[in-house]
Amino acid sequence: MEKKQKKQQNYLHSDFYIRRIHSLLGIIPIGIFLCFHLFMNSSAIIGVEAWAAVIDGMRSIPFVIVAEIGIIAIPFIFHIVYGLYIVYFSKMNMKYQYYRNWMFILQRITAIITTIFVIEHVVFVRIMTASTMDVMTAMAHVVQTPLGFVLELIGVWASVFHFSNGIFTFLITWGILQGERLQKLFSILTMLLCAGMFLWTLIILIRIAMMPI
Amino acid sequence: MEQEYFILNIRRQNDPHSSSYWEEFHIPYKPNMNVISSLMYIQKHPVNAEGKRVNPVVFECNCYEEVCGACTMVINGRPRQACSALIDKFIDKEGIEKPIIIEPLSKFPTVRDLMVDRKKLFDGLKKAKTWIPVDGSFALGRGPRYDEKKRAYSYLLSRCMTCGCCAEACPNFNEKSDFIGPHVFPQVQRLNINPLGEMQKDERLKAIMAHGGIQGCGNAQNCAKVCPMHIPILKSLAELNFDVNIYALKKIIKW
Repeated sequence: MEKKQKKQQNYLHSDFYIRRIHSLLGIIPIGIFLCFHLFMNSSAIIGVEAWAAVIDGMRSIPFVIVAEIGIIAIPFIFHIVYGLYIVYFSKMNMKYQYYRNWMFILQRITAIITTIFVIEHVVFVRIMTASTMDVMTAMAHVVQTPLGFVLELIGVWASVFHFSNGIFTFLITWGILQGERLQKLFSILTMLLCAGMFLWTLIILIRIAMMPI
Repeated sequence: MEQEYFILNIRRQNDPHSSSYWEEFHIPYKPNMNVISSLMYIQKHPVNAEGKRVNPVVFECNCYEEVCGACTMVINGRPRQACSALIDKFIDKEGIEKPIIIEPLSKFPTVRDLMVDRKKLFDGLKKAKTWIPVDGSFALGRGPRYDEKKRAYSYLLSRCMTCGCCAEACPNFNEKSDFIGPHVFPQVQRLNINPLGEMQKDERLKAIMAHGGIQGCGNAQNCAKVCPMHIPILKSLAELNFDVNIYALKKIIKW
């Protein structure tokens, strides 16, 4: 009986560790991957050839599938599944017009948008493509229609916001931002980062939309 | 002033299982009234806006000076103490015609009208072991000295009256989740920095790492915004986040 109770208690303790892993995975590797991904695709700003060369380079890494599954797919699935569970258990309350409450709500709304966007992105740009040219046309054809451009931008911006605000909550969760003024400072810094990434991703998408593909 | 009365719009409920309904009351205006004195007027004259005699509104109150938390209710959408909710301020801000909306706390089971059962708050404190066990069969002598800086911080944390405002505003404290509530963490931190309480620090950290513990915090930070005592909830939460992480890391490497 006592053993059973203890076992149950141990199980209940896993809650904490799962939530912490969820928080950690958001930055390492998912956040890092996001930045890496944006830097890679910044080659689209230079031109079609540069972009093709980078995609070619990525595709030619040996055993890239191992990295894709181990570093990207599994952490993503964990973060998404547990994240949706967290979204389900919160009762968003828009009646409190406080800045951080809005951030809390936006973090959860962008979580859902990003989930849909990432699944769409992976299916159409990674799974259903066989060559470098396929990847480029898959992206370009979506972005070159006005509706596609807006939807793509919403998806990218939701991910970027979720990442930027995620850095802030990550730093609190890990006990790094303890002081009130430090929290305020990082709240501003992460939103500046978000604004910068908005601009960055907008330029990348505009350049892809202008490509002769 | 043309209108000699102000309006209270109260969400009422006859018993824990029935559904709630709204009822309006007109209260003759007098200077320096608060929500409690208005509710007391209704007790004396239980007549609603339509002139019908009804059961007086049930509510709780005790200290009348915002230190006991018994009269906590949601007034114009914000959880606060009814005793410090001054009628003159509402009238100055929104005019005498605008009804003042009064609801019971929504995160706790309603007993009747504005009276709620806040047992959940105390359950949270019990789960987190927010006490110092000093009972024994012989005298333990004088306790260790209190560092003045810690004492000053501890005082800020000790002003909590378990009123439930923070829990009411917290998006993660609800019937779906098992989160123990934001009010627990300042008390855990208060005892963790106490020179005597420090000895059971790990036990409390372990308790707030259990199911429904500190990981349930979603950083909406509404708790600190609505706290009537301006308790540094965020600071204690962040400090405890750091402490539980270190504790977890220690546990992992010694597994």
